[in-house]
Amino acid sequence: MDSSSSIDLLVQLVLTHYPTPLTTSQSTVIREGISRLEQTARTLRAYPLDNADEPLTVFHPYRAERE
Amino acid sequence: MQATEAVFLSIRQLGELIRTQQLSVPDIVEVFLERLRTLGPQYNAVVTLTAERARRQAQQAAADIAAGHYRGPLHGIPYGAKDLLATAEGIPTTWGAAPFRQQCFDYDATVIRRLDQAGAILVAKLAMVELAGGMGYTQPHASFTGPGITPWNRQAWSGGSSSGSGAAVAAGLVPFAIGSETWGSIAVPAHNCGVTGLRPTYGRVSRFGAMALSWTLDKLGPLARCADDCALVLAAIAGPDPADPSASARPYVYDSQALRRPPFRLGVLMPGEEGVQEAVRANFTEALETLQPFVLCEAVELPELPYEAVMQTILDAEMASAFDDFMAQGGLAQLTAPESRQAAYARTMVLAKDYLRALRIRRHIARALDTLLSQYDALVAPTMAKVACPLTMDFPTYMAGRRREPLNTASNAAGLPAIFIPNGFGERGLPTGMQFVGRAWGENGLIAIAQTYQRTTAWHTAIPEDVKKL
Repeated sequence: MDSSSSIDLLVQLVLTHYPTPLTTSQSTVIREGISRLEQTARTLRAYPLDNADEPLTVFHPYRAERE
Repeated sequence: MQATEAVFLSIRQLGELIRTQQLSVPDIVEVFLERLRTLGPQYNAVVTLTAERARRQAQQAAADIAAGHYRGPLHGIPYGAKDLLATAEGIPTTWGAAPFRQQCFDYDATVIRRLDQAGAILVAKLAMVELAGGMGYTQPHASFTGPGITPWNRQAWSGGSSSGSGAAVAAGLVPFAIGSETWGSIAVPAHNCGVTGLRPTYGRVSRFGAMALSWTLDKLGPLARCADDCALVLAAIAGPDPADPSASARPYVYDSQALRRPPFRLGVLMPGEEGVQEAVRANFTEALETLQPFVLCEAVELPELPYEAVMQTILDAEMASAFDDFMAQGGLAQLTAPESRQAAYARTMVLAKDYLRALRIRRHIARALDTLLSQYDALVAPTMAKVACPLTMDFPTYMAGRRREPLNTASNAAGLPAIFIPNGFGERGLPTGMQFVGRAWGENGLIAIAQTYQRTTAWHTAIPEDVKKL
């Protein structure tokens, strides 16, 4: 699937999730925004990571403090 | 001294006059309430005056101080809070956005509660860019209260998203204000309004009761007239909070006499050639020369990492979740900035794996910056490449690729502290400034450097002509 098709799919996803009536120019704004997202994502994907590279956010199981 | 003469004093100076009862708390509160009422609208700085609460607190403070129960340097000091901080007692918390004009919470944010405990007096909820700018705004008219205006030039933007916080301090409407920064929102108002802003380390200050834009990027911090004032406020608001699991257990202690002494080692990020106004460059160079007796400077470059892509991805994904229901209910259509009404939809399409990739790269950023910073007491750079944007221009046109300064982007990605201070004036009579960024939890080092500069210069004491008198 080329980049343009994936952008089209994401635009369709937006219109499905947020069924607000949009004009053609408003849909264009969304499409341009998704294009930028794609570009940003390519930048991220170009940075090499190993399986051992963990997210900087660490999950801690919760336990309420005893009274 | 009359209360009207005290409006541009530092917290420490004002606090001493209050402690020794040379100034009455009710009188000083009335002076600031009057300034907020008359001057505030000229800068679109104020959403709500909290007069009833303020007057009650002022009476209590006066009685406590007269009885010898002095709580500390913030006792009796009026302040304003960015209107994303929850306040009880029927005081609206509007988030700067028309759909939330009438929103009220039945509790105070932790920061508000802690300032109450320190004896500070909330006099106003201050204007902000709608939803802290999270929907993507590209010009100054992005709040239902109107564009924030800097007291230095009524045709120029005060900066955002803490627009009212910056303007209110600069105009002497409050001695200090609480703002927030996700990506630039303390830096830019501090710069555009010529005041001092402190962005603490992520987790230094509880976010409980603050509108969430991005859970792992939002930081609350003070704007005030000098670094010492910012430190006094930070000492009151910092600390662990069971209501905010991200709030660190690390204590913050501020003793102005115990701060590190010069010389300081500074890693200097020169502003580059493209798109930097000459006065910004000249004032930055002159500031470094002023600091020369106290610092050892070395030119540095930031490690090459995709800071902006990481920041944008994290912000987009977390914003999209934080405002998911609001957007699904069509809330965007009621926002003030036209570009925010559709642009945000696109930003909801960040893939989960890309968000997680950004968080993984973020660990590399944190380590790389800490390695660099371990060699210095701070990195220093101009806060912004240009003075405040005209109200009639959009940011892409005016800033021409320099809207986000690299050090601000990188340091926010790593959750690092920064202090922003004025260092002169530039085009159209507007302030310029510089930023010092430190290692995580290193606020006191930054305050020491900023204080050294502020002891040698007077930029932070400058007062806009229009606001000297009511």
